Amino acid sequence: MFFPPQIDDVSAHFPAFQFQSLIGSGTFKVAYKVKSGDRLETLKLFHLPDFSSAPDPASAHKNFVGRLSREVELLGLCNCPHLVKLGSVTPKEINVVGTNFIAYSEEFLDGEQLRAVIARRTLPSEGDLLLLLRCLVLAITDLWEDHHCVHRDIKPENIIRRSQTTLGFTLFDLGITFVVGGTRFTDPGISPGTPPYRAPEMLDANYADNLDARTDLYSIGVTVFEYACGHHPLEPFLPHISIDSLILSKPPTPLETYRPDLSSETCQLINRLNRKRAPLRGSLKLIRTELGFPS
Amino acid sequence: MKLYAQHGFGPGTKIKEGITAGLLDGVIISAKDVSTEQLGLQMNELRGIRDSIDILLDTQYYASILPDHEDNRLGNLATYPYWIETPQNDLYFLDPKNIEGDIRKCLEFQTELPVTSHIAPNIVVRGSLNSREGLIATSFLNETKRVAKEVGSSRKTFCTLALSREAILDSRELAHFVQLITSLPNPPDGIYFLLALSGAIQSETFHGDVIAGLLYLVSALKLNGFEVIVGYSDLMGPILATVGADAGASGWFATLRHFSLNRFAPGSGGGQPARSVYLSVSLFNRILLGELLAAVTLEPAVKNGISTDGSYFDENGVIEPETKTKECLQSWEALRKLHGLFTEGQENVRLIALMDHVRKAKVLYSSLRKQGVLFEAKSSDAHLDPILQGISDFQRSA
Repeated sequence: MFFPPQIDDVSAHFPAFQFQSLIGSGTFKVAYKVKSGDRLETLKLFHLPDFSSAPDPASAHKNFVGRLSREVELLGLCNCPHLVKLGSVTPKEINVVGTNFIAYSEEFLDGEQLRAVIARRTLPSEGDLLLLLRCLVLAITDLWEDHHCVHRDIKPENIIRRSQTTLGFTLFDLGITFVVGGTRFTDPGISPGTPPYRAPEMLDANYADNLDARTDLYSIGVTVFEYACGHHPLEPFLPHISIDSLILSKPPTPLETYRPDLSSETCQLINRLNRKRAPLRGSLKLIRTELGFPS
Repeated sequence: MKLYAQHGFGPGTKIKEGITAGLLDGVIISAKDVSTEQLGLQMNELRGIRDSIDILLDTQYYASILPDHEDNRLGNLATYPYWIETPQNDLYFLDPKNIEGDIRKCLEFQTELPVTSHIAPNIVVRGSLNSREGLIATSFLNETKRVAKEVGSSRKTFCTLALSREAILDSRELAHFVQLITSLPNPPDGIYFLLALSGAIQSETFHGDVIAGLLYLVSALKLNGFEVIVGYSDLMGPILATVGADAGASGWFATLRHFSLNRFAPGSGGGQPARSVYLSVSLFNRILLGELLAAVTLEPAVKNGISTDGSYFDENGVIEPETKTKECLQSWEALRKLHGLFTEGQENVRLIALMDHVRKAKVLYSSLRKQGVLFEAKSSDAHLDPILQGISDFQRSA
């Protein structure tokens, strides 16, 4: 547990930045909107836990730093306009009023978090829906085809609908991205990701052997479904039934149940992404073709 | 969905007449049944009938895994340049050079032929996919495209995938296998799929779990960019049309309607001449002529109402078709009609259409039974419930 530091305490470490506001904070990170010259950036601080009581403190520290470094490295490599870009601060350890953090910056994404858009319960048009799908498919195409990475945490909280409508939607938070053949920074016994958006294959003990872009397609399917109608395809969630068991065995609700106004082609495509078996979601290439991207 | 002739022993004029009548979109030639000298000539002759037909060669390389026996029914296979006399075992396939070399020989041989696409060889996975044979089969799939590029053909290259019923029934291993082959970085353009049975028994194929597994396999292959030709598919063809199979095939003997390595093993000899049958679209099955006579009198819907009916009916009722060729043409025309019934719309629409058709077939069978028509086991409706079960299982687990 940590408390987000005051802007004045943080700003002392970043004299080149003009701090504008606190964007938000989570269980172990805090983000600030900052300005550097004409450019707006998001400065992220990750609370560096005290690993002294860990079985192997050095290894725990190395994994934590390694995960963040990989995220930053990936951000620097990706070119897709629908993936957040790296800012001017590369990862560095700082101490703010006795608490250790790792800090780095990304471009500031002007817009609204998709979760907030969904919460307003205004149903999007089919065009908006397909725009979200296209943006996310392009983002994971960059991750998978150029870098052999699976994002693993696509969900409305990690997507911004940009204020400038021509920019569409942007995906961020590559914190638990899985690099096929790369070093694993997550505990092998734990399935990472956010439960309601986790693909069934992520629940397999040997999930690392089975991951590819189709795993992200599942999370995209759930996210787009939720954007379309405000419901999760596996609802209702009941307290006495685990989400994992629903993910593994409950047939998803077809999108047309909630949105009969959408074309059957769009519903079928999104329904297909919600399938339990990864190969039945279709290849990334096929989805791109169906969305009208040149092959 | 295209319909191909599954070529075999004694084609006579069947395939030529099938192409001329527009019942066939192509042919899969059985290497065993044509000499290397005749192969090109026969292909050109078929092409001469209709230039647009697909011509493929099943190299039947898989028969080389049979134990050596002087009575093996290998026909012309031993004269083909890719054939290896010594039976191949796991040790042989442990050397990737052998796999690559054999693919190359098969593809190079086909580049000289007027085939429309190439089919690369493979072995038959006789047990579960979690086996050495499963790994070997994957290696063939993995190497095919690379070797095809080196061979330099501009034609599409399919790879044979021959799986036993047991391999399909092991759903967990099948899922792993499908996950793997749909992730291959350099996959073949398509799959020439064969379901290997221990015999030619309809109940082996028409089993709910087998149908669910096949629907999953073909659907996954299609959604991941493969073209899929299902050899020896016969009545399984229309079922797999619902999930996008590109072509199915059937022939004139029971051994050309179900695939089994037994076709190449020593025969038991004897056997009765096959009785004439009629493929009824509405019953989704073949029935004997006596059964046809009784059924069509009580329920005219049993009759297909297509051109080849003329070989089975005259003004007095049901007649024996004059030749095996006419029986074969009837079978192809009925299959073609069945293929066409389940290819419109998206997958769920097709599956619903198939289920509706099968339910109507059940009602028709039930009506006939109530009116006293007795069907032999092979002609009965025993295969219909497994189809419905298979579709339901496939949809639930998708």
